[in-house]
Amino acid sequence: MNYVIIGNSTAAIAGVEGIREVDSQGEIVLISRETHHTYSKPLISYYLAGKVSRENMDYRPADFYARNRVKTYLGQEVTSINPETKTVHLEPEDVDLSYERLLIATGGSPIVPPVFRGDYLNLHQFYCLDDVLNLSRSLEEERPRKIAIIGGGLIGLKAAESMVLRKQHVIVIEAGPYLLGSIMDREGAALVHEHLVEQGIEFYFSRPVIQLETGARGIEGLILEDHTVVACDMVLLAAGVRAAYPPTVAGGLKTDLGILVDNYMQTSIPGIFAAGDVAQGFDMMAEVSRPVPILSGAYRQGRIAGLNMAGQKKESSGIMAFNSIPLLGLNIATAGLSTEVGDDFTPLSKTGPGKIYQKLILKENRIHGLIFVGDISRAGMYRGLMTKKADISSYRQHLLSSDFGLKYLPEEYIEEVL
Amino acid sequence: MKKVVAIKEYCVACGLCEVYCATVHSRYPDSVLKAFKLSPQKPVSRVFLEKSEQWSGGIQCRHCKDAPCIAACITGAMYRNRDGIVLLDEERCVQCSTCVIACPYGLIKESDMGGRKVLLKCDLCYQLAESPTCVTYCPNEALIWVEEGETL
Amino acid sequence: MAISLKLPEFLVVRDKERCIECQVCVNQCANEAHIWDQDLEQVVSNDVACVNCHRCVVYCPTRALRIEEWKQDFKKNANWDGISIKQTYLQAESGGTLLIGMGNDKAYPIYWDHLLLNASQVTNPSIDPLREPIELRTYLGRKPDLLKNPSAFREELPPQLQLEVPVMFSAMSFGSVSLNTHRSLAAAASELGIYWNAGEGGLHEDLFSYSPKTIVQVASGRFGINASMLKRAGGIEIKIGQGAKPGIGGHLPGEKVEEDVSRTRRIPYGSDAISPAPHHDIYSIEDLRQLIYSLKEATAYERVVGVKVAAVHNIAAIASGIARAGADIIVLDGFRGGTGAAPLRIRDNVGLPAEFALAAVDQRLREEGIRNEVSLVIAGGIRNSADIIKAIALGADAIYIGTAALIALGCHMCQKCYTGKCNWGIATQQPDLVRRVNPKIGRERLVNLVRSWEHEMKEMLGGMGINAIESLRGNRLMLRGVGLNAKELEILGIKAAGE
Repeated sequence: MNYVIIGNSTAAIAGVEGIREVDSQGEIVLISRETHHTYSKPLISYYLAGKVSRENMDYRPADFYARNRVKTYLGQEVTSINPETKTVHLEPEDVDLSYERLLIATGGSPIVPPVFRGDYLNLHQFYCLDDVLNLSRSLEEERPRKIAIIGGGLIGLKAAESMVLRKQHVIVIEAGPYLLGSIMDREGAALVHEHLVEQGIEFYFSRPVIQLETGARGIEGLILEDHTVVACDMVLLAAGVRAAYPPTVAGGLKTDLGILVDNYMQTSIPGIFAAGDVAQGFDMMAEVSRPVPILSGAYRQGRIAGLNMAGQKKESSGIMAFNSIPLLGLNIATAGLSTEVGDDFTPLSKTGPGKIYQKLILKENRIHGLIFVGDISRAGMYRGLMTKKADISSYRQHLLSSDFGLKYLPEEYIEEVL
Repeated sequence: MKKVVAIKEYCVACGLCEVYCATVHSRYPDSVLKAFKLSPQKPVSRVFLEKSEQWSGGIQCRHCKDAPCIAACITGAMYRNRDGIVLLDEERCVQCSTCVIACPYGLIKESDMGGRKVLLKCDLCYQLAESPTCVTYCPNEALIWVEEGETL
Repeated sequence: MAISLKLPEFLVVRDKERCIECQVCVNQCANEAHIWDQDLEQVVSNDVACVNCHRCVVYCPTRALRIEEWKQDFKKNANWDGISIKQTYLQAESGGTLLIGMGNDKAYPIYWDHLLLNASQVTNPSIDPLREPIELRTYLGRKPDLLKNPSAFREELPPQLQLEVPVMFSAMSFGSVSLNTHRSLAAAASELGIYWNAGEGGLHEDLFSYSPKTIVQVASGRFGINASMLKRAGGIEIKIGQGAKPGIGGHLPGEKVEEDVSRTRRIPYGSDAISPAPHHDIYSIEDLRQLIYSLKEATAYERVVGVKVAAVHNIAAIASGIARAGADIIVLDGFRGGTGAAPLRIRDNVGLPAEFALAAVDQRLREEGIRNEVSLVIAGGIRNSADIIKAIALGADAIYIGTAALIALGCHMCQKCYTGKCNWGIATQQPDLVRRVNPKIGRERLVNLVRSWEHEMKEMLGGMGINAIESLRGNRLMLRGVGLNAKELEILGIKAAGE
């Protein structure tokens, strides 16, 4: 069996590991547009903040490809995929590579809001390693005084954190009414907001940027919907990510918000698999097919894809969205349907002391989502219960109590841990 | 692989597993007294004595086959060594705490080492030739080190 | 409230230089003598609660703890010593009987320590147990007066208990001790090829697999006894009395009668388990004979039936009566025998030393020509292998150990068994404390103890030039007395050292 993997991030690496669990002989070819050794995308903000060295950004040790006998084509782009001939075409190398199993793990690409489409010297993306290498250089050369970050989501806030740690003045422009809208409720977001304001970050909410003021240095001001003008001398875009589809595939892959995959990570074309941010698989909490763009999901999907590509039938039970993001000393963790407010859902929450907020989203005696701010030490247990679809009725009264632990859980759960 | 199993029927809830675990992972692995008296920060255990009215037991990382913490680790710092032990490379860890929420048993904990946050988990004392320290020092043999699936 | 005159018995000495505030002592003390103080952020002592059981001392990882006597002198008085004064205060406050656990701790003479064994020199060679076999196997039960057919090699014998070592674990009921203690005793006895006595509280169903090596007790409360249990057991013992509290019944408070105890004893959950002082159906030797024979009937004459009595003043005559009532074994329980709970005054002031009872009974049964009809087992105060060898030379067939077995399991002789809060998990039913005896470790420790004694007994036998325990039994010439008066020597039936 020979395998071609497009991509070099989490899902692609997990694909290699999955294949090698089953097939130690087959030839693996890995193609990446980026020239770097596999690195961890979420670490870009840590790199910028000086918390991690370039070497330690590597997602796997330097000998990973050699040890797993992976032939790499780095800095190469796949320009076409032909499922008839089972080949992919590479540029600029200008070669056709044939595959028996193909894994598409091309990840995502940052969304550029229309108003920012243009060539501005001081407009930076905040998505991949090259972005932050550029950004880092610019910060040193241009010494900006005010940096505007477009987007108050996960990436935006991690970018803001790294800028604060570099002693930069940061302004976050969020089009929505509060921070981290995709994973957080208003109450939790307020705590995060309060904490970040204390750290000197400025915020604008509910007003998208409608126009730019430009000058010699590029963007010099942002005009918001209510005509407020926010002066800045550098702009970071962190407005979200969408699936980065590979070039059109002859015959066409079925897509929705990502490439549709079944529980074996196979696409609508047999022999072609997809995993990670580019794929749209089963969300175990929402119980529907939808993109869950998180690293752990990419890893799980990639590994399952690898196993199945190598012939071991392994079904995924779906993935769960969960995050842990420390922001300038404040811990934040969310999982599952953390923003769910539907009628059937009952929130159970606890606040304080200090910047502590814990909330579970319950429905039909199950935990469907959680938001923990400040103290996240027991979040894992609750997430474990979510994964197990555990019936919490016998210990519901102890949920979120300060001594909640194994002792309140049913025998079979305890036995598993002992 | 061999794992530590807690036998709740014989756990006496003394907490010596925690004391010795904290010691062996401190700067003074051979002396409880020095570990607790001389370490700049109170030594921290990676095994946790869980107790209720009905039972108690020293619990720790299960070194899961399909480990959620490894899948979730954003840096690759969480890895499995050749012996199957799930380890955290503290050099590479950026303290994002994703493993804390990934672990379904809540067995990876954050600890404050004098202003520096670190994440700690059981390493099965893989650097020692003998059994894990908690097993060695369990006074009632309520922690045992056995091959997986081995009956008691 | 009037001030209590009660002073602490013990002082908890905590070396602050060594204490690491790990709270292991707090976790281990069921009496709450160690308390974690939130405000001080340190462990503090509540000395008055300390019973000196050493649990904390043993568990402290930095050896920061030591328990001392609380030294409070009273004005010197040879009559009214501190103990007497404090006991008076206690009764003046409580109005109750003084209770105590374990055996008599008074400084009465210990006759074992006044007996010396013989050894072979020159004229008869001693035997090296590492080179030659030495037999410790013993059979308990009635032996025939005569061989029916002296030329045959086989003789049909009445039922016997076969012991690989002449040691048994004496009666300690489930209720007075924990199930894990029973598990340890049962497993050790089975491994050693000896018997253990389940006491008067019946046999827990988890231990049925050990029943061939179990002696069940028929006591005045008749707890946990029915026909199927009798048939299941390896042996039966009628308990008339106990050395720690002769003439006194027993009382297991309802709080200790939890689910397992209730099911095993076949009494209602939470009800007091009262063992009357006498058997209400035994007022004569004839009544006793009826019970012995009804038990034999119930087990088709396939089980050994013994009778256990406390060693009291007319013990020789009593034992003769028991033998004639048809008992296969007589157990003589000396005044050092332990208990889970006894009135202090009874324990300390009633009964006889087992040594005297044994010598007197053995002598009497020989004189009456019925020594072969019963086996003699003595209990109460056997501490080591030398005590056993001396007991056998004095006439015992085997001995029972209770206290020694509990010490092997971790007992530190604090004598607080009656509180039900045994920190060593032995004399308790509190689930968190019961877990402290791991039967696997318990079994190993008991087996180790008996095996080590076995080696020592063989050494002593070999030294005397004796290669079978049978040859020592009643061989009082192997004993000499030191520091004993003529009357004591006469009762013990031994010569003085140097004679």
